[in-house]
Amino acid sequence: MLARLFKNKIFWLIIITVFSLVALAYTSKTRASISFYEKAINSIYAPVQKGVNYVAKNIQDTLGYFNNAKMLTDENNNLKTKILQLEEQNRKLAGFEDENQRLKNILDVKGKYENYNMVTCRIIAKESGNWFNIFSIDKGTNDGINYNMAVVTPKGIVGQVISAAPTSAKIMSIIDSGSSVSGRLSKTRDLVILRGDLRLRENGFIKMLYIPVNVQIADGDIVETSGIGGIYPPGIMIGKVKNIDNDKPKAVRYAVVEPSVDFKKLEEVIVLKPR
Amino acid sequence: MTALVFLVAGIIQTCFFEYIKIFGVEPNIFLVLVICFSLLKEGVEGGFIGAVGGIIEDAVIGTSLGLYTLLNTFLGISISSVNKRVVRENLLVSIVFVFIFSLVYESIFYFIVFYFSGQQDIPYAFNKIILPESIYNAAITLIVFPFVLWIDSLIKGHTRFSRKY
Repeated sequence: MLARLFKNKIFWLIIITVFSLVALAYTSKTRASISFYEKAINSIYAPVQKGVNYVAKNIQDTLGYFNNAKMLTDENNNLKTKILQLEEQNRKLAGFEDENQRLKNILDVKGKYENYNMVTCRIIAKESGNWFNIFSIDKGTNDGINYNMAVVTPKGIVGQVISAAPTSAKIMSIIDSGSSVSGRLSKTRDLVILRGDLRLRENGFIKMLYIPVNVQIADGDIVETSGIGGIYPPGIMIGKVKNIDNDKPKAVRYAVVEPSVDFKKLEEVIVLKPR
Repeated sequence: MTALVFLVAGIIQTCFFEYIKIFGVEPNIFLVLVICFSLLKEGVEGGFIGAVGGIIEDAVIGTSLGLYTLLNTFLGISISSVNKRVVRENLLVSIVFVFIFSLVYESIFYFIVFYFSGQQDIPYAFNKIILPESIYNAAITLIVFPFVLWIDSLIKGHTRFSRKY
């Protein structure tokens, strides 16, 4: 009778359903390490994705070469003018730099990345699909990258590591609808929350929520990380306020923030490894 | 064999589809493959195809194990149990099935993942993501379905029409 049960298709489909529900229950909440199965699949995928990405990029660059000729000539002329201006600026700045160093030594200012090792990574796949903004990088636990590490670029924050396999890791960017960052308004030092939104993500913007009622915000205000939550170190640039809807009641108003990082052109990122 | 097809599909989905986005959406090859394979099955066998596809999709583009497995299993079961009265090997039939079931699948996905967690923006989700993606999925069925027919004939060892004319 048991043999008949094992031959029944519906029995096996029920087993698959139960197994999926249990796996979902265990893996839906935030988890420090991924299952062996996911590590295995990612280990197979990462080198192939790296290779394909390399080829695709080269093809794209080759095809773009012909389109870019005129654009490059114009850009060249503009850059030559800019160089002359910058050389003049450099001379002035050299003087300021000496003064800055002296004053820093006096104040003993600590760098914001002092407690972190910086690991530079390349993006090998953007597996966002249509709903999410998650991408893969080419380094993983073998390079010390682990779950919940902050990912930045020189321009500002990019996101956090949500899962790490031996040779690759997945990053959830701040414009993903599941992302939530604790931020601080530079001007008034008030705490706010920055969340990704399905609609705003199209343009690369994020939503700023829970703005304290008595705070005045204007377009162009800078938002930086607050350090609360333990993922992002404090003081890193998130973006600038783009639009604030002042017609809504102050308790439910939100602002649109334009991140300083351009997510469409992201190629290399830095993962902050705590020392 | 089907697992191998899904593994290769995963590479295509994550590496190439980013570059062929139209109106900001890319097709979901896992979904199209599950629907096409399940269309050629009978009874509840589509559920097993969905399970295999879902397990691989979870590892590749999922953040937790089990969500895509569950959704794809039930998608496979529903397709293979309602396809009795159609000519399954027909390209137009497969395109219609892909379009309709893409709409259903993505709507259910949206409700489970976004709507019930507070992000309630149905017009945007439907007009900008679900509908364009379903149309795009139906378009790539033109290429995917003949390939699925070929793989299926390799597995079965022969090509056989399911309904006699």
